[in-house]
Amino acid sequence: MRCTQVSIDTIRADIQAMKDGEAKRTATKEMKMAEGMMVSKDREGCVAHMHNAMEAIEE
Amino acid sequence: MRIWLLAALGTLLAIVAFVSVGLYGGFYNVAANIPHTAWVYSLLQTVRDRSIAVRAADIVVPNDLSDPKRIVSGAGQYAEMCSNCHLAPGKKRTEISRGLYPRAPALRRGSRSTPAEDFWVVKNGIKMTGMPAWGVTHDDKILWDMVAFLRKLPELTADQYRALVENSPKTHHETMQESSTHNRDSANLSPGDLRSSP
Repeated sequence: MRCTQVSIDTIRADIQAMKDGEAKRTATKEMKMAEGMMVSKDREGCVAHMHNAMEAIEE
Repeated sequence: MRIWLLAALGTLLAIVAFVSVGLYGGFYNVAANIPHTAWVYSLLQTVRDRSIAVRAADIVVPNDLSDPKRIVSGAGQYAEMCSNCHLAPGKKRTEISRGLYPRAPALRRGSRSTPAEDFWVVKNGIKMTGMPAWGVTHDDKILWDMVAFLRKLPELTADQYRALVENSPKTHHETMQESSTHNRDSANLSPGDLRSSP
């Protein structure tokens, strides 16, 4: 997985389809952090938060 | 009074112009790989949920949805008709499930919808989501079997799901053939009548 807008959009679409609850809140929070890190060019941090978001999605 | 009228008219014209430019200017991106903004998604979700709830309100739910025969029959239909998009226990995400937007819900995770709402959705489909209207080609009995299975699906492990599908009495093709024979007999038509019909 790479820190790109396409990957972020894909995960955001997955989050939108989640039922409301703790997992969705966690995934949303992680993606906000990932997007923040993409803006500040911290690719590794961005990918780490995207992974966390995906784990929450798969829970 | 006159100035208020002119102001109201001006405001109305401005709104119409704004909406027209927005619609015809092609500004809104309809690409499936760019998610809706949160408020558009929320608006569409509310419209969808209310539309389904209102239309499903009068549907009479059969009282035998927990009948194992219905569930096992529905499992076979689900595996062939639904699992590519909605996935199943033990099934990894497919290419189509990754690309659909809005995402088809992973039904093994359960839902808050009622059996009547599930039936309505399966039968009528949902515009601009990729969800087809299975009622165009399937009779209600088959669709209720699927609803019966959907109620059971969140409880199933991968092994239980596989066993149900393997024990499904007929393939989808056989079910459809039987259904069309039954419908033909019900209408008291011969195969020749069907072939000659326009």
